[in-house]
Amino acid sequence: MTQTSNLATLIKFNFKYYLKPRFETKKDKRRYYILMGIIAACLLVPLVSLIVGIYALIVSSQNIEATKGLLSSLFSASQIATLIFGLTTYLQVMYLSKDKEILATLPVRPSEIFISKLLTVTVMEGLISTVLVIPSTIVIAIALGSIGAPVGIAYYLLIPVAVITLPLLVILLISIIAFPAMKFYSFLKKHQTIGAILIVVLIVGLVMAIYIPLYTSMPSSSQTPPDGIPVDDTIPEEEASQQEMNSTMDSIANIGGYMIHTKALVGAMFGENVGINLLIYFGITLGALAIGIGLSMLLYRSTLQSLDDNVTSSALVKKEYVESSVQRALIKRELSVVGRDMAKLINLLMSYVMGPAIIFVMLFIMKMNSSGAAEGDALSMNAFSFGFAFGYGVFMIGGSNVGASAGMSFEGKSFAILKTLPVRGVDIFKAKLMVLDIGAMISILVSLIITLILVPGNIIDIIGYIVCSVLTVGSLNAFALFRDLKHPKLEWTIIKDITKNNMSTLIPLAVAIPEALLGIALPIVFAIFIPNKYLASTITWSILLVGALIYYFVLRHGVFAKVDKQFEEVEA
Amino acid sequence: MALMQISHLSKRYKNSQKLAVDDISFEVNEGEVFGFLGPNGAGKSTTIKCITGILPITEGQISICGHSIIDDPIQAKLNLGFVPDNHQMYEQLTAREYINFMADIYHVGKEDRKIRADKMLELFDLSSVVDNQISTFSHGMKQKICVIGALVHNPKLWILDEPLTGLDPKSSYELKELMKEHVKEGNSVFFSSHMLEVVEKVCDRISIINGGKLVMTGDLDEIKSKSSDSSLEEIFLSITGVKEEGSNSETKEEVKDVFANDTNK
Repeated sequence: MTQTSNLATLIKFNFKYYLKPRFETKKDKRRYYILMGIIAACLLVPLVSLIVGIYALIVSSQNIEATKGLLSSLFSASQIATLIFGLTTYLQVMYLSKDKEILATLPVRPSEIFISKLLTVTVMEGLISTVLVIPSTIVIAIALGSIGAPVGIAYYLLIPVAVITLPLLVILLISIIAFPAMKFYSFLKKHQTIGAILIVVLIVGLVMAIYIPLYTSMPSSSQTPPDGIPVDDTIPEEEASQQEMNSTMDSIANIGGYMIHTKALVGAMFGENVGINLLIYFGITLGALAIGIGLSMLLYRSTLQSLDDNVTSSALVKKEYVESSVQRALIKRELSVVGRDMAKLINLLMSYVMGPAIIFVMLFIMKMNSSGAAEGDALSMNAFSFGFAFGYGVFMIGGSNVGASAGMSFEGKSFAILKTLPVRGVDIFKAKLMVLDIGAMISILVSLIITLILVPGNIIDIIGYIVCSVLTVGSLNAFALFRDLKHPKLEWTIIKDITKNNMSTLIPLAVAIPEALLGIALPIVFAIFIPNKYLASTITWSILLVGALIYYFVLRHGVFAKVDKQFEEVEA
Repeated sequence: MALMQISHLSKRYKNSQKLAVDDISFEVNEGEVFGFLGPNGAGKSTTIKCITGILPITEGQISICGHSIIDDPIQAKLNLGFVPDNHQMYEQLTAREYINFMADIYHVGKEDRKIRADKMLELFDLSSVVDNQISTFSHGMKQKICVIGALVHNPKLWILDEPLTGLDPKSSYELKELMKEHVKEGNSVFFSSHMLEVVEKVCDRISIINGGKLVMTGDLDEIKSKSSDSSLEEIFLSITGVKEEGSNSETKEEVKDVFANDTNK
């Protein structure tokens, strides 16, 4: 046996534990990779659209300065994506994992445990930014080459540097978000609901705080062309289109200009004052990283100290015994078990809160950009907004709701208690589903209110949105929960263990994609080809309703009859 | 009359070829404490999980108070109270919420639940922390809450998997007294344990399981009369084969050598 340092052993263990996919059978492995392939293919659609869009913008505008701004914006976008998708992983692996007590007994320094975990999380988050950064940088190089302005060697050399270092700044942002929650860990341990809400609100607030000021400060593409000349209705269509492209390019580039660190990196990639620009970039990144690590370490120490908390003192308020019906008791239990566990609640709220929040941000940006647009464009914008709210809601509130796709697995080893109770499996299933449905309905309603505040919708859009969303999301909830009942993962230490290599959490996502994409695409298509907005809305929502009904009958309607049998078969 | 009947029970786990429990049959009668013994991995917990409905059964029948756990699981479960060995419960709930939940599920009225729960809370010295979250409790406190939750509906049959593990001497004594009191009223207690001296003192009858097969069932005198060994411990070690394996002095010496030669110490 070879002797390795504790740190190396811990890093190796964490990488293997969190990053290496593990499967019980070869069949599971094959199915997992097939599904991943399908999801990747589905997600390839927006990625390819983005790449084609970038290429078209650069070739059309032929503006190298604006291209630099565009690249800077893309780098920032990758950091935002890392922040949104990586935060829960970070919190779970770093602070909410239950292995603290086991690790505390090992002959290793807390700093070694901390570094090994931080490094693992950074790599996991780096994978998210890689998906955006590599294709974008390559297409920009190709586009610039095609307009006779090829990039230099520094550009290619700095692509891997960008991939590795861009997620590092996110560590600081995550530490800022985690700080209040984890600083008061001892308090929040007893009030986990408040903790979870606090974290979700902070994430949403941070995303809005970064996005909205940037977009509101940039010139509206429809109001004023880049050179400040008002739009002339008499100019030829081709020229107007060119003007529109230039304007869009300038708008995006403008955002990149605000991001000093990514602007400096891009400057270095394009061979401008390479030394100074790299100094600025690494100065900001490493400075932020140092502060981030400092904050994270401080928090990690305080969570270790929280093992020492004595929280068994007598409660101040004496309560009474209350009698409830079986179904009500099951719902109350469900609310308490999920609502008082910070990690579970964050997973649930992320989908319910992030859905409406992103719908708000996107529609707000679109509204800003179309505020001076012609009537026809404004109508398209209205139709698109409801479709977008529906499509994104289906994807986020329905498809990616871990609370549903891991709702049974959340029970962990205590699933055995459920099996000993004198209640039918379907009653337990219904109690869980009711909680999920209520959360989803609130989220759908909030999304509708947001959409209505920003965009005046017609009655068909409103009714269509409500009916189709409720049917589709409700069906996805039932489907996801039932799938998890068929393949529950009851042996876990942290919630991440449930979602890792778990097809049950990926399949609802894949199933949600067709109706979600249809919801986004149909309003645009019909707004273009059908001038009557009511007719366009009616056709759009009728098609979406057919889709929603198919989802309902295939995914939800017959599921309850199968629950009892499936429940009995679980080996808890 | 038998409160629990197990006939030809076999259990094979999904991803296994081997039977974890292999064709076992026995009965637990009214008014008796029945001990279920066996070494680690013998099939004790699997049997208990089949009885309580946690695991689906591969073959055989289990009936509780005349209700089959397979065909009529709700009625069967209403007649039993189960305390698991791992003290699994909903740690986010307070002790009172947990007791309330169990009482609701087993249809226990408000007054009855108050009387029974308060009595047991006092017995186990938990009255002052009943409104605290279970996650803040010690191992032993969780075990006691588990016991209260399982017994709040005063079931005919108690099924306890290693119930005394983790309990302090006073609570352990109180639980044993509760068990005796319960059977005096014509009910039954079925429990597994590794504490052979406790089993010897408390149980009316015992069964010993080894390698998934039931090797002996009967009252203590009956079992002792069938064996040349005098104490339950010796009988247990003989039956489960530990005595013969334990005499494997060669293996013991090898282990000793490994530790003696370990230079890392």
